[in-house]
Amino acid sequence: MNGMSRSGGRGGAAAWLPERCARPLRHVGLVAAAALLLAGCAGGAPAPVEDRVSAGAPVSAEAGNRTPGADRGADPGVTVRALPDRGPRREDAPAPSAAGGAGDTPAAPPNPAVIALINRANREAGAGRHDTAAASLERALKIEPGNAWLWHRLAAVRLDQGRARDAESLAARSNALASGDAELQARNWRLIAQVRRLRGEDAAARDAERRARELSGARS
Amino acid sequence: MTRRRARSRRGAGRRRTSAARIAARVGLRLIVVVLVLGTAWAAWLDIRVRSQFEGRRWQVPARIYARPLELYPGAPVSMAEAIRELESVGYHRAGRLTRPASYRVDGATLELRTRRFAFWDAEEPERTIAIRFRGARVAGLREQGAEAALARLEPRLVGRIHPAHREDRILVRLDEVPRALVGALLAIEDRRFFEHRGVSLRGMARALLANLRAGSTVQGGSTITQQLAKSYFLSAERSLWRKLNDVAIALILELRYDKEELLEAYLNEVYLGQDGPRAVHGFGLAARHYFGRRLAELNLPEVALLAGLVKGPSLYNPRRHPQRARERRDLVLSEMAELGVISAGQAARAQAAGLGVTARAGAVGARHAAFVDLVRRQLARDYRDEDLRSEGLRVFTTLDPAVQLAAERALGDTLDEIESRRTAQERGLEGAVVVTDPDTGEVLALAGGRDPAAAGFNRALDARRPVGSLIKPVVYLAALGEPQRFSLATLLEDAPVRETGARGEPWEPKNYDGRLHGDVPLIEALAQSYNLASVRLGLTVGLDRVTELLAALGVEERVPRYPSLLLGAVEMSPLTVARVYQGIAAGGFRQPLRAIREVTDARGRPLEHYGLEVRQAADPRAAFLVRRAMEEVMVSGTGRAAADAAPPAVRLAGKTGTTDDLRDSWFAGFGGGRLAVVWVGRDDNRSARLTGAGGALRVWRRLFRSLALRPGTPPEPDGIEWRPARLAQGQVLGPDCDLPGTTRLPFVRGTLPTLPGCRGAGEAGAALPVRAPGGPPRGRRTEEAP
Repeated sequence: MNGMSRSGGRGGAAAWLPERCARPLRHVGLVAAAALLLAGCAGGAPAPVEDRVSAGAPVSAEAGNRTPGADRGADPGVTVRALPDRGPRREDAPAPSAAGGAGDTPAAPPNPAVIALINRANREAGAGRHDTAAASLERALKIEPGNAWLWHRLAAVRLDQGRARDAESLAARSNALASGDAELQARNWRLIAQVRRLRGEDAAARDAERRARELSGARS
Repeated sequence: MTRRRARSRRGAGRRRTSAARIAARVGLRLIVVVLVLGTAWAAWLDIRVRSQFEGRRWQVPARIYARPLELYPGAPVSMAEAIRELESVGYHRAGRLTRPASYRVDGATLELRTRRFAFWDAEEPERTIAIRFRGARVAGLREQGAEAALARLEPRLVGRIHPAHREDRILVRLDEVPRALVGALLAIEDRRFFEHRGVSLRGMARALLANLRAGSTVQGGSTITQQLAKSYFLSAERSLWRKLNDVAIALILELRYDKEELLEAYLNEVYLGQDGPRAVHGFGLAARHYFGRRLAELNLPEVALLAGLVKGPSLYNPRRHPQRARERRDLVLSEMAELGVISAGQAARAQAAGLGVTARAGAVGARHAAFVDLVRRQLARDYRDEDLRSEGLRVFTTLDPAVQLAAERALGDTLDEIESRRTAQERGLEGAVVVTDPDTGEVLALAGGRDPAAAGFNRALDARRPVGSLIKPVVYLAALGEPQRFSLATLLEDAPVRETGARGEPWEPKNYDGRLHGDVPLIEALAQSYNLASVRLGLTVGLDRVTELLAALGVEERVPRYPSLLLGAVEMSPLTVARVYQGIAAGGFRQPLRAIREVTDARGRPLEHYGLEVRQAADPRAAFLVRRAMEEVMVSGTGRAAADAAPPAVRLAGKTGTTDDLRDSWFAGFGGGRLAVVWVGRDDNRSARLTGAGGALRVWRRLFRSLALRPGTPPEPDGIEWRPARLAQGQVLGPDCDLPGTTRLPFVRGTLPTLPGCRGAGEAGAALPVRAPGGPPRGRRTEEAP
């Protein structure tokens, strides 16, 4: 699924943190600290390739935050990541903005409000309060609707709420926004597979699992 | 009762002769009768009192709140907007933030002390925050010397769902009532409240004396308990019988309930003024009505003023009779000092204070009638009307007051402008606007007509009109869902069409300009809204695909399955149109339009959360291509007059719609995190003499120019590749062949063969010609119509 050639395209240089890098982030909420750790991890993880002309070098940072109670098969860790809106930058179709791509996408630093809301959602989900966790994620989505990770988190919470069909749709929505982010897409497919298993659609579930595996493979 | 009377009759059976005995017997009988009747009366009153006191004591209307304003670094909110929001929820500008709900301005920093507010998911505590602004955005937040991430302001009250008698209340608990208020009430109304047993003989004697001296009723002499009794059996009658009744009820109340319960009931019951057609009952609402504050926030002079109002809310109305109200307040303060509730110094300082009453009542106008109407309909699915009117539910909606105001103004101003150049007969235009957030499906604003205060016909919900060309993006979405057959560069034939209409009549649509355009690329056919090319495309794809897609996008209404559907011969309300466009704007994902986020009970306990829902309705790649074509509408097509509705960094997309005889003028468009559908027409369905571009588009442009839009390009799903195309020839070139005269367009990956570089790209042979298959369309015909 073309994961490699465009991975990292959304937020810039950062791909999903591999498990061993994500763990030390457990107690770190601050973006800056997370970014430092991320740099330390870069040796272990294949550096994502940025092959697109990006406007104004968007900043990306991640802050890991693991909430024990929030652990689940499809979602072993929780990541906070703020992403700028992004889109085709090589398009030179006639547009009111003759300037084209440059300047279209302002560099968006990770919004502290989104991070605070995700952390709150994780706490709530960890305590089994899925409704309020969902409410916090929805608030975050109002701030950053293009953030595919938020949609993914909401999908996971919906699954916990027993709303499998919503979970599946939200994961699909996340995927539509996660162009180039193979890790996130793989997670979404695993979640979709889980929903399909619950419904007893084993063939469709296997298909989703296969797609998840392909995407995971594309990363390494 | 009858049994007892029968018993006494038996007693009368014995014969006695003495006259004295007869007299005694008659007297005894009388006493028995009076006692019996009295007991029955008391028992009956007792039942009434108990049902009044312990049953549902107050009917509290459901309260409808706008969305809370969220402040965070980068939030698109200017200081002026933030202040407007604060004022609308009763914040006061102050030099020092001594009370909650106050703010002050220091350069580009807004410092505020919030009041706590129980939201559905969490309580927002009282905080003191400094908010820095940069231009029309929030630059940062500080709280207790550290950077803060987020503050959620208390939401604005935008409507109530009233019980029939239009009473309103804000219930207060005794423990949240300022002690000074209790002191003031005791001082001025009933000094011996905690000692007497419901009736104060001393008080009554004093009142009687005063009344005799004055020659008229100047003092009530009623205890607080008696006043409560009186208000329970709403009657202003001043007869002896009435008085007796009140006394009896007061005695019963005192027997049954303790003083604290009675006082709390009184605080919530007493009549304190009039807010238009609504009676202001209770101190909770009075605090809001007169001071725009919560009761707990009031200071001594304010509390004294309210206590003084009890005697005569209209006589001492501080807005109408400030001098009289002031004298009354000062009297209350003096009495308080005399009683020792406050010191003489406190009284003197309070007497020196101004009245502090707000200019007008913190009134909830009918401004948001159309939106509240939508909220009520959505609530009606889950709640009984009676509960909405009486249980004090709190309804948190998605209404954005700033967007609402912008929508109302855009509609009103544009229609005024159009009509200013028209004769009287040609006027009478009406309109409707729906604004949503395409990312979440939240309805942000709703205008049901030109006059925002009119509560009548809600056109946004109930005006069902043919949608005209607004249907076309759905037709094109259906086509682009078959990427092996259609792309944005596919050439379509814009040539005459002859089909059969709904009643078997021949149906021969025309282009709006009456011309035939020959072979046109698909993207241009949509951008220029060519009817013939669109009908041919729709018939090739099939009417079934189009109706299926409409249903998937959330159209619940019956869709007539005739070829004329392809040109919008289907009636929809503006809200339904918004639902359809929502799905396109969200990249093929349908989201139910929501006007309500959550509902809590009167105490803030969560009842219902109407969470975000999503269903995939179309292939995200096809939706992305349609969006690209709809962007072309705004750049070079029928919507280009509104290309300047947003800064260049915001990508706008939209579609005009016009119906036969220019009856309906439609525009639906989105970009930058906002979507709006506008309809303009006449209620009598005569010609509005407006095209989509001439009416609705102008409203939409004015609206979008006043919205805070989020810059950025639309998110691109996986599986899209960009290729240069030579549109006139319907040729798609190799990836790096951006030659003069080519346009770079998105295609579904894997549907185009790889071409060897640009060698000979100028020659027709090297490029890939794309053309709609099937030649002349053979569409599904009328026999399939239901």
